[in-house]
Amino acid sequence: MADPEPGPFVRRRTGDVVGLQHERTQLAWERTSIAIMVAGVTFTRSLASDGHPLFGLIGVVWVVGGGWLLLWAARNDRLLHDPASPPSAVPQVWLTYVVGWAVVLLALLAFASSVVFVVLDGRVDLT
Amino acid sequence: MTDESKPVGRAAARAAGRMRIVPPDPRGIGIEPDYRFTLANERTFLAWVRTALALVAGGLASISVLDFRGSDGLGLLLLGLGVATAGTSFHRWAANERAMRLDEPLPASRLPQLMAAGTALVALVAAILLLVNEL
Repeated sequence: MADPEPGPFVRRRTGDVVGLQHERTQLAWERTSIAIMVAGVTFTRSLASDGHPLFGLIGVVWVVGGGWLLLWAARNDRLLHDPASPPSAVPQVWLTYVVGWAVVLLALLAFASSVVFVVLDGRVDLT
Repeated sequence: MTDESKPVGRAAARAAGRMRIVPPDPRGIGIEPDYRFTLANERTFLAWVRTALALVAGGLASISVLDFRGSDGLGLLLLGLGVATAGTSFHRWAANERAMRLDEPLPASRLPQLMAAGTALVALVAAILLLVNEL
């Protein structure tokens, strides 16, 4: 009789416990979502306080996005513990691509905005 | 015997898409790798993303909260380092994913050197500014 298909938490011959791989990845996503929310709050606090409500809106969008990512990570964690879910379904390459682009754009926006504010406030004299 | 039809050096890297400023979408290229390698690449990228976000937050806080001579410059330096980290880590994730899908060696990355040099520079600048403000 052939061995049954091992579930997601069966220790394989290499010693790698598949379930812990997924759990580490999920924890990484949760930490990242919290970092995104903190960055959004800092973005809002730093740039919106100079009287630019658009930056406050961008910061709020980031906080909401980070919150959505946290909820997604929690829901995905429930799915990966489902014995019927194949381990190969866990990697979310599309989400990694989206988050990568979003973080690069946020960093660029924060840098460009800060340069403009520092110059406009007269702290750096370009003349 | 070398294959003269295959490009080498920077030409090979460019042909492989690793030299493009905007990293190409690795999905749909080559064969789906072992999911464990994809997850490891994903976790590494997320760790660098958190580092970039921390640098951005620190830069913004330095500009808006700190109020000593040179704090704006320090903030801009942190923001620049955050931009560089975010862009380089994203590029590295895409390049690693592509290499795994094409069963190629993982490309070398300058991200650790960038982070070490950048952090050292920020610490040096901050120390100098604190000394200048104390005098």
